[in-house]
Amino acid sequence: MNKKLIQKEFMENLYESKGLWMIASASVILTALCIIVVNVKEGAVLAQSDILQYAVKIQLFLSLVMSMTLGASAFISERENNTLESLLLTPVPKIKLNTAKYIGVLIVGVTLILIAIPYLFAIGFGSGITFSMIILSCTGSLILLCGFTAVSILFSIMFKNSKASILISLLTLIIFSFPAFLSGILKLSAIGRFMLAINPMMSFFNLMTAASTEKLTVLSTVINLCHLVVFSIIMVVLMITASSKISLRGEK
Amino acid sequence: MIKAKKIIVSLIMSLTAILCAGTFSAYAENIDSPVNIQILTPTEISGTPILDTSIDIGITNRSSTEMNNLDCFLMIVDKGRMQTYPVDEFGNEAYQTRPLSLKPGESAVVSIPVSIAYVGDFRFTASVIDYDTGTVYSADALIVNIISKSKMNKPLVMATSFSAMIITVTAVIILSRKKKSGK
Repeated sequence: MNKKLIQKEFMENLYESKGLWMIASASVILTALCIIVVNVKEGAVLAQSDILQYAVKIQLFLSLVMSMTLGASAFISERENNTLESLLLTPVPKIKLNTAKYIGVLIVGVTLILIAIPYLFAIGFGSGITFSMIILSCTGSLILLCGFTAVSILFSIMFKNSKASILISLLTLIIFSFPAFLSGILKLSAIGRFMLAINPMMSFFNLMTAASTEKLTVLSTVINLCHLVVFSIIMVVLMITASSKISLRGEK
Repeated sequence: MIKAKKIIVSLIMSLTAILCAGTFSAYAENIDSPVNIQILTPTEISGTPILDTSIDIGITNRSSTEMNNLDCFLMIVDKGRMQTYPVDEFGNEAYQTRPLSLKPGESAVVSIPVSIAYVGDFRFTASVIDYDTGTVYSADALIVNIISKSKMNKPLVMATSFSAMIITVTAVIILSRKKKSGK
Protein backbone atom coordinates (compact mmCIF):
# COMPACT_ATOMS: atom_id res chain seq x y z
CA MET A 1 0.00 0.00 0.00
CA ASN A 2 1.29 3.42 -0.91
CA LYS A 3 1.69 5.19 2.45
CA LYS A 4 2.47 8.56 0.86
CA LEU A 5 -0.75 8.42 -1.13
CA ILE A 6 -2.82 7.56 1.95
CA GLN A 7 -1.14 10.36 3.89
CA LYS A 8 -1.84 12.81 1.07
CA GLU A 9 -5.52 11.79 0.99
CA PHE A 10 -5.83 12.03 4.78
CA MET A 11 -4.24 15.49 4.88
CA GLU A 12 -6.45 16.62 2.02
CA ASN A 13 -9.54 15.40 3.89
CA LEU A 14 -8.42 17.17 7.06
CA TYR A 15 -7.40 20.51 5.62
CA GLU A 16 -8.95 20.98 2.17
CA SER A 17 -12.29 19.28 2.86
CA LYS A 18 -12.73 20.82 6.32
CA GLY A 19 -12.35 17.46 8.08
CA LEU A 20 -10.72 19.20 11.04
CA TRP A 21 -13.76 21.41 11.55
CA MET A 22 -16.03 18.40 11.24
CA ILE A 23 -14.12 16.78 14.11
CA ALA A 24 -14.46 19.96 16.19
CA SER A 25 -18.20 20.18 15.45
CA ALA A 26 -18.67 16.51 16.44
CA SER A 27 -17.07 17.29 19.78
CA VAL A 28 -19.36 20.32 20.26
CA ILE A 29 -22.46 18.23 19.43
CA LEU A 30 -21.50 15.54 21.96
CA THR A 31 -20.86 18.21 24.60
CA ALA A 32 -24.31 19.66 23.88
CA LEU A 33 -25.84 16.21 24.48
CA CYS A 34 -24.04 15.99 27.83
CA ILE A 35 -25.29 19.44 28.86
CA ILE A 36 -28.86 18.46 27.92
CA VAL A 37 -28.85 15.16 29.82
CA VAL A 38 -27.36 16.75 32.92
CA ASN A 39 -29.14 20.09 33.10
CA VAL A 40 -32.38 19.98 31.11
CA LYS A 41 -35.29 18.42 32.97
CA GLU A 42 -36.51 16.33 30.02
CA GLY A 43 -33.06 14.88 29.45
CA ALA A 44 -32.27 14.37 33.11
CA VAL A 45 -35.20 11.94 33.63
CA LEU A 46 -33.93 9.53 30.97
CA ALA A 47 -32.44 6.26 32.17
CA GLN A 48 -28.65 6.13 32.03
CA SER A 49 -28.75 3.27 29.50
CA ASP A 50 -31.02 5.34 27.22
CA ILE A 51 -28.66 8.31 27.37
CA LEU A 52 -25.77 6.00 26.53
CA GLN A 53 -27.71 4.65 23.55
CA TYR A 54 -28.41 8.17 22.29
CA ALA A 55 -24.71 9.00 22.58
CA VAL A 56 -23.79 5.84 20.65
CA LYS A 57 -26.28 6.73 17.89
CA ILE A 58 -24.86 10.26 17.68
CA GLN A 59 -21.34 8.81 17.49
CA LEU A 60 -22.42 6.51 14.65
CA PHE A 61 -24.31 9.12 12.64
CA LEU A 62 -21.66 11.82 12.98
CA SER A 63 -18.91 9.49 11.79
CA LEU A 64 -21.05 8.10 8.96
CA VAL A 65 -22.37 11.44 7.71
CA MET A 66 -18.96 13.10 7.78
CA SER A 67 -17.11 10.18 6.19
CA MET A 68 -19.74 9.77 3.51
CA THR A 69 -19.59 13.48 2.68
CA LEU A 70 -15.81 13.27 2.34
CA GLY A 71 -15.97 9.97 0.45
CA ALA A 72 -18.64 11.17 -1.96
CA SER A 73 -16.39 13.97 -3.19
CA ALA A 74 -13.15 11.96 -3.23
CA PHE A 75 -12.82 11.40 -6.99
CA ILE A 76 -15.21 14.10 -8.15
CA SER A 77 -13.24 16.89 -6.47
CA GLU A 78 -10.12 15.63 -8.30
CA ARG A 79 -12.08 15.66 -11.54
CA GLU A 80 -13.54 19.12 -10.86
CA ASN A 81 -10.11 20.53 -9.96
CA ASN A 82 -8.58 18.89 -13.05
CA THR A 83 -6.06 16.96 -10.92
CA LEU A 84 -7.40 13.49 -11.70
CA GLU A 85 -5.49 13.41 -14.98
CA SER A 86 -2.12 13.81 -13.25
CA LEU A 87 -3.13 11.17 -10.70
CA LEU A 88 -4.08 8.71 -13.44
CA LEU A 89 -0.84 9.39 -15.29
CA THR A 90 1.22 8.19 -12.31
CA PRO A 91 2.27 4.51 -12.33
CA VAL A 92 -0.09 3.88 -9.36
CA PRO A 93 -2.82 1.42 -10.41
CA LYS A 94 -6.43 2.60 -10.22
CA ILE A 95 -7.27 0.06 -7.55
CA LYS A 96 -4.47 1.37 -5.30
CA LEU A 97 -5.62 4.92 -5.90
CA ASN A 98 -9.14 3.93 -4.93
CA THR A 99 -7.98 2.09 -1.81
CA ALA A 100 -5.78 5.03 -0.74
CA LYS A 101 -8.71 7.41 -1.00
CA TYR A 102 -10.90 4.95 0.90
CA ILE A 103 -8.40 4.57 3.74
CA GLY A 104 -7.83 8.34 3.85
CA VAL A 105 -11.55 8.89 4.45
CA LEU A 106 -11.77 5.95 6.88
CA ILE A 107 -9.07 7.47 9.11
CA VAL A 108 -11.17 10.63 9.52
CA GLY A 109 -14.20 8.48 10.40
CA VAL A 110 -12.20 6.46 12.90
CA THR A 111 -10.96 9.70 14.49
CA LEU A 112 -14.59 10.76 14.94
CA ILE A 113 -15.43 7.42 16.57
CA LEU A 114 -12.44 7.74 18.91
CA ILE A 115 -13.38 11.28 19.91
CA ALA A 116 -16.73 10.02 21.24
CA ILE A 117 -15.14 7.45 23.60
CA PRO A 118 -14.47 9.85 26.55
CA TYR A 119 -18.09 11.05 26.31
CA LEU A 120 -19.44 7.49 26.31
CA PHE A 121 -17.23 6.63 29.25
CA ALA A 122 -18.38 9.66 31.28
CA ILE A 123 -22.09 9.08 30.51
CA GLY A 124 -22.00 5.36 31.27
CA PHE A 125 -19.68 5.56 34.29
CA GLY A 126 -21.11 3.48 37.13
CA SER A 127 -23.83 1.78 35.06
CA GLY A 128 -21.97 -1.50 34.71
CA ILE A 129 -22.51 -1.63 30.94
CA THR A 130 -20.03 1.07 29.90
CA PHE A 131 -17.22 -1.23 28.83
CA SER A 132 -19.39 -3.57 26.74
CA MET A 133 -21.25 -0.63 25.17
CA ILE A 134 -18.01 1.16 24.19
CA ILE A 135 -16.45 -2.00 22.74
CA LEU A 136 -19.58 -2.95 20.81
CA SER A 137 -20.40 0.56 19.62
CA CYS A 138 -16.85 1.12 18.38
CA THR A 139 -16.72 -2.28 16.66
CA GLY A 140 -20.17 -1.89 15.10
CA SER A 141 -19.56 1.73 14.07
CA LEU A 142 -16.22 0.78 12.51
CA ILE A 143 -17.75 -2.05 10.45
CA LEU A 144 -20.63 0.16 9.30
CA LEU A 145 -18.17 2.96 8.56
CA CYS A 146 -16.22 0.61 6.25
CA GLY A 147 -19.43 -0.29 4.39
CA PHE A 148 -20.95 3.16 4.06
CA THR A 149 -17.64 4.85 3.16
CA ALA A 150 -17.23 2.28 0.37
CA VAL A 151 -20.74 3.22 -0.85
CA SER A 152 -19.84 6.91 -0.95
CA ILE A 153 -16.55 6.27 -2.79
CA LEU A 154 -18.51 4.13 -5.26
CA PHE A 155 -20.86 7.05 -5.91
CA SER A 156 -17.93 9.42 -6.32
CA ILE A 157 -16.63 7.14 -9.10
CA MET A 158 -20.02 6.75 -10.75
CA PHE A 159 -21.26 10.35 -10.66
CA LYS A 160 -19.81 13.31 -12.51
CA ASN A 161 -21.05 15.97 -10.11
CA SER A 162 -20.05 16.33 -6.43
CA LYS A 163 -23.45 17.69 -5.32
CA ALA A 164 -25.28 14.70 -6.82
CA SER A 165 -22.79 12.26 -5.35
CA ILE A 166 -23.00 13.74 -1.81
CA LEU A 167 -26.79 13.92 -2.01
CA ILE A 168 -27.18 10.32 -3.18
CA SER A 169 -24.71 9.11 -0.53
CA LEU A 170 -26.62 10.82 2.28
CA LEU A 171 -29.93 9.60 0.86
CA THR A 172 -28.55 6.06 0.92
CA LEU A 173 -27.69 6.49 4.57
CA ILE A 174 -31.21 7.81 5.30
CA ILE A 175 -32.82 4.92 3.37
CA PHE A 176 -30.78 2.39 5.34
CA SER A 177 -31.54 4.10 8.66
CA PHE A 178 -35.25 4.58 8.00
CA PRO A 179 -36.45 1.01 8.75
CA ALA A 180 -34.68 1.12 12.10
CA PHE A 181 -36.80 4.12 13.13
CA LEU A 182 -40.03 2.63 11.78
CA SER A 183 -39.53 -0.82 13.29
CA GLY A 184 -42.90 -0.70 15.09
CA ILE A 185 -44.83 -0.36 11.81
CA LEU A 186 -42.59 -2.64 9.75
CA LYS A 187 -42.87 -5.48 12.28
CA LEU A 188 -46.55 -5.82 11.33
CA SER A 189 -45.90 -7.15 7.82
CA ALA A 190 -43.78 -10.03 6.54
CA ILE A 191 -41.96 -7.76 4.06
CA GLY A 192 -41.29 -5.28 6.85
CA ARG A 193 -39.89 -8.01 9.10
CA PHE A 194 -37.67 -9.19 6.23
CA MET A 195 -36.44 -5.62 5.66
CA LEU A 196 -35.64 -5.30 9.36
CA ALA A 197 -33.84 -8.65 9.38
CA ILE A 198 -31.48 -7.68 6.55
CA ASN A 199 -30.97 -4.05 7.55
CA PRO A 200 -27.43 -3.48 8.90
CA MET A 201 -28.47 -0.39 10.89
CA MET A 202 -31.20 -2.41 12.63
CA SER A 203 -28.62 -5.06 13.53
CA PHE A 204 -26.45 -2.36 15.07
CA PHE A 205 -29.39 -0.93 17.03
CA ASN A 206 -30.40 -4.43 18.19
CA LEU A 207 -26.87 -4.97 19.41
CA MET A 208 -26.90 -1.70 21.33
CA THR A 209 -30.35 -2.36 22.84
CA ALA A 210 -29.26 -5.81 23.99
CA ALA A 211 -26.07 -4.38 25.50
CA SER A 212 -27.90 -1.57 27.30
CA THR A 213 -30.56 -3.89 28.72
CA GLU A 214 -27.97 -6.48 29.76
CA LYS A 215 -29.62 -9.10 27.51
CA LEU A 216 -26.60 -9.61 25.31
CA THR A 217 -25.83 -13.20 24.35
CA VAL A 218 -22.85 -14.54 22.41
CA LEU A 219 -25.14 -15.87 19.66
CA SER A 220 -27.06 -12.61 19.16
CA THR A 221 -23.81 -10.63 19.16
CA VAL A 222 -22.25 -12.90 16.54
CA ILE A 223 -25.39 -12.85 14.36
CA ASN A 224 -25.73 -9.07 14.46
CA LEU A 225 -22.02 -8.49 13.86
CA CYS A 226 -22.14 -10.97 10.94
CA HIS A 227 -24.92 -8.88 9.32
CA LEU A 228 -22.73 -5.81 9.58
CA VAL A 229 -19.65 -7.61 8.25
CA VAL A 230 -21.52 -9.12 5.28
CA PHE A 231 -22.95 -5.69 4.35
CA SER A 232 -19.52 -4.06 4.58
CA ILE A 233 -17.78 -6.81 2.56
CA ILE A 234 -20.38 -6.49 -0.23
CA MET A 235 -19.94 -2.72 -0.36
CA VAL A 236 -16.13 -2.88 -0.33
CA VAL A 237 -16.14 -5.50 -3.11
CA LEU A 238 -18.47 -3.27 -5.17
CA MET A 239 -16.18 -0.30 -4.59
CA ILE A 240 -13.07 -2.25 -5.62
CA THR A 241 -14.84 -3.59 -8.70
CA ALA A 242 -15.73 -0.03 -9.67
CA SER A 243 -12.03 0.99 -9.61
CA SER A 244 -11.74 0.27 -13.32
CA LYS A 245 -14.47 2.86 -13.99
CA ILE A 246 -12.34 5.73 -12.68
CA SER A 247 -12.05 7.97 -15.71
CA LEU A 248 -11.63 11.54 -16.82
CA ARG A 249 -14.50 13.68 -18.08
CA GLY A 250 -15.63 12.41 -21.47
CA GLU A 251 -13.27 9.43 -21.36
CA LYS A 252 -14.88 6.19 -22.46
CA MET B 1 -78.73 27.11 70.11
CA ILE B 2 -81.50 24.88 68.71
CA LYS B 3 -81.38 26.85 65.43
CA ALA B 4 -77.63 26.28 65.13
CA LYS B 5 -78.12 22.54 65.76
CA LYS B 6 -80.82 22.42 63.08
CA ILE B 7 -78.51 24.15 60.57
CA ILE B 8 -75.68 21.72 61.33
CA VAL B 9 -77.96 18.68 61.04
CA SER B 10 -79.46 19.90 57.78
CA LEU B 11 -75.97 20.63 56.41
CA ILE B 12 -74.78 17.12 57.32
CA MET B 13 -77.90 15.58 55.79
CA SER B 14 -77.55 17.52 52.56
CA LEU B 15 -73.84 16.63 52.35
CA THR B 16 -74.72 12.96 52.88
CA ALA B 17 -77.41 13.19 50.21
CA ILE B 18 -74.94 14.72 47.69
CA LEU B 19 -72.32 12.04 48.42
CA CYS B 20 -74.87 9.23 48.12
CA ALA B 21 -76.21 10.66 44.87
CA GLY B 22 -72.68 10.70 43.44
CA THR B 23 -72.02 7.12 44.53
CA PHE B 24 -75.34 5.81 43.22
CA SER B 25 -74.93 7.58 39.88
CA ALA B 26 -71.39 6.14 39.49
CA TYR B 27 -72.70 2.69 40.40
CA ALA B 28 -75.56 3.14 37.96
CA GLU B 29 -73.11 4.12 35.20
CA ASN B 30 -71.04 1.00 35.92
CA ILE B 31 -74.12 -1.20 35.93
CA ASP B 32 -75.42 0.33 32.67
CA SER B 33 -72.22 -0.36 30.76
CA PRO B 34 -72.60 -3.55 28.67
CA VAL B 35 -68.89 -4.30 28.99
CA ASN B 36 -67.00 -4.33 32.24
CA ILE B 37 -63.24 -3.99 31.92
CA GLN B 38 -60.69 -3.79 34.70
CA ILE B 39 -56.97 -4.33 35.14
CA LEU B 40 -56.74 -7.38 37.41
CA THR B 41 -53.00 -7.59 38.02
CA PRO B 42 -50.82 -5.85 38.90
CA THR B 43 -52.64 -3.24 40.96
CA GLU B 44 -49.68 -0.87 40.80
CA ILE B 45 -46.25 -0.91 39.17
CA SER B 46 -43.20 0.75 40.60
CA GLY B 47 -39.53 0.10 40.06
CA THR B 48 -36.58 0.93 37.89
CA PRO B 49 -36.02 0.39 34.18
CA ILE B 50 -35.92 -2.07 32.46
CA LEU B 51 -39.05 -3.50 34.10
CA ASP B 52 -40.70 -6.49 32.43
CA THR B 53 -44.18 -7.44 33.56
CA SER B 54 -47.48 -8.69 32.22
CA ILE B 55 -50.76 -6.82 32.58
CA ASP B 56 -53.85 -9.01 33.02
CA ILE B 57 -57.09 -7.39 31.92
CA GLY B 58 -60.49 -8.85 32.83
CA ILE B 59 -63.35 -8.21 30.39
CA THR B 60 -66.98 -9.23 30.99
CA ASN B 61 -69.91 -9.02 28.63
CA ARG B 62 -72.82 -7.85 30.80
CA SER B 63 -75.27 -7.38 27.97
CA SER B 64 -77.83 -9.90 26.78
CA THR B 65 -76.35 -10.08 23.28
CA GLU B 66 -73.24 -11.78 21.97
CA MET B 67 -70.33 -9.44 21.14
CA ASN B 68 -68.18 -10.77 18.31
CA ASN B 69 -66.30 -7.71 17.25
CA LEU B 70 -64.28 -6.59 20.27
CA ASP B 71 -60.65 -5.56 20.43
CA CYS B 72 -58.69 -4.99 23.61
CA PHE B 73 -55.75 -2.60 23.65
CA LEU B 74 -53.43 -0.69 25.91
CA MET B 75 -52.77 3.06 26.08
CA ILE B 76 -50.03 4.89 27.92
CA VAL B 77 -50.14 8.40 29.31
CA ASP B 78 -47.22 10.22 30.91
CA LYS B 79 -48.53 12.42 33.70
CA GLY B 80 -45.34 14.40 34.25
CA ARG B 81 -44.58 15.16 30.61
CA MET B 82 -48.24 15.55 29.59
CA GLN B 83 -48.00 13.24 26.58
CA THR B 84 -49.03 9.83 25.32
CA TYR B 85 -46.56 7.22 24.10
CA PRO B 86 -46.46 4.92 21.09
CA VAL B 87 -47.18 1.61 22.83
CA ASP B 88 -44.62 -0.24 20.69
CA GLU B 89 -41.93 1.50 22.76
CA PHE B 90 -43.16 -0.56 25.71
CA GLY B 91 -42.37 -4.01 24.36
CA ASN B 92 -42.72 -6.07 21.22
CA GLU B 93 -46.21 -7.35 22.03
CA ALA B 94 -47.66 -4.36 23.88
CA TYR B 95 -48.93 -2.47 20.83
CA GLN B 96 -50.90 -5.30 19.25
CA THR B 97 -54.65 -5.34 19.81
CA ARG B 98 -56.30 -8.51 21.14
CA PRO B 99 -59.49 -9.52 19.29
CA LEU B 100 -62.28 -10.96 21.45
CA SER B 101 -65.75 -12.37 21.17
CA LEU B 102 -67.89 -12.75 24.28
CA LYS B 103 -71.23 -14.47 24.84
CA PRO B 104 -73.72 -12.85 27.23
CA GLY B 105 -72.31 -13.01 30.75
CA GLU B 106 -69.02 -14.47 29.54
CA SER B 107 -65.68 -13.20 30.87
CA ALA B 108 -62.19 -13.30 29.42
CA VAL B 109 -58.74 -12.41 30.65
CA VAL B 110 -56.27 -10.79 28.26
CA SER B 111 -52.61 -10.73 29.14
CA ILE B 112 -50.38 -8.04 27.64
CA PRO B 113 -46.63 -8.26 28.32
CA VAL B 114 -44.91 -4.89 28.69
CA SER B 115 -41.31 -3.86 29.00
CA ILE B 116 -40.86 -0.44 30.58
CA ALA B 117 -37.60 1.21 29.64
CA TYR B 118 -38.48 4.81 30.47
CA VAL B 119 -38.45 6.75 33.70
CA GLY B 120 -41.63 8.64 34.63
CA ASP B 121 -45.06 8.75 36.23
CA PHE B 122 -47.27 6.87 33.79
CA ARG B 123 -50.89 5.75 33.68
CA PHE B 124 -51.64 2.57 31.73
CA THR B 125 -55.22 2.30 30.58
CA ALA B 126 -56.80 -0.80 29.08
CA SER B 127 -59.72 -0.35 26.71
CA VAL B 128 -62.08 -2.46 24.68
CA ILE B 129 -63.56 -1.19 21.45
CA ASP B 130 -66.79 -2.64 20.11
CA TYR B 131 -66.49 -2.20 16.34
CA ASP B 132 -70.21 -2.85 15.84
CA THR B 133 -71.29 0.15 17.90
CA GLY B 134 -68.07 2.13 17.91
CA THR B 135 -68.16 2.35 21.71
CA VAL B 136 -64.96 2.26 23.74
CA TYR B 137 -64.97 0.94 27.31
CA SER B 138 -62.00 1.72 29.51
CA ALA B 139 -60.69 0.34 32.77
CA ASP B 140 -59.50 2.43 35.68
CA ALA B 141 -55.90 3.51 35.08
CA LEU B 142 -53.01 1.54 36.44
CA ILE B 143 -50.46 3.71 38.23
CA VAL B 144 -46.94 3.06 36.92
CA ASN B 145 -44.14 4.88 38.63
CA ILE B 146 -40.68 4.19 37.28
CA ILE B 147 -37.82 5.94 38.99
CA SER B 148 -34.36 6.43 37.59
CA LYS B 149 -31.65 3.96 38.51
CA SER B 150 -29.16 6.32 36.93
CA LYS B 151 -25.85 6.46 38.68
CA MET B 152 -24.67 9.10 36.28
CA ASN B 153 -21.93 11.16 37.77
CA LYS B 154 -23.05 14.63 36.65
CA PRO B 155 -19.85 16.52 37.59
CA LEU B 156 -17.79 13.87 35.77
CA VAL B 157 -19.97 14.14 32.64
CA MET B 158 -19.73 17.93 32.60
CA ALA B 159 -15.99 17.98 33.32
CA THR B 160 -15.21 15.32 30.68
CA SER B 161 -17.41 16.83 28.01
CA PHE B 162 -16.03 20.35 28.44
CA SER B 163 -12.42 19.14 28.66
CA ALA B 164 -12.80 16.95 25.57
CA MET B 165 -14.42 19.80 23.63
CA ILE B 166 -11.78 22.35 24.66
CA ILE B 167 -8.92 19.95 23.81
CA THR B 168 -10.43 19.05 20.42
CA VAL B 169 -11.27 22.60 19.39
CA THR B 170 -7.86 23.89 20.57
CA ALA B 171 -6.09 21.11 18.64
CA VAL B 172 -8.11 21.93 15.54
CA ILE B 173 -7.30 25.65 15.78
CA ILE B 174 -3.58 24.98 16.33
CA LEU B 175 -3.40 22.53 13.41
CA SER B 176 -5.26 24.93 11.10
CA ARG B 177 -2.95 27.83 12.01
CA LYS B 178 0.13 25.64 11.60
CA LYS B 179 -1.04 24.65 8.16
CA LYS B 180 -1.76 28.28 7.21
CA SER B 181 1.63 29.52 8.48
CA GLY B 182 3.29 26.59 6.68
CA LYS B 183 1.79 27.77 3.39
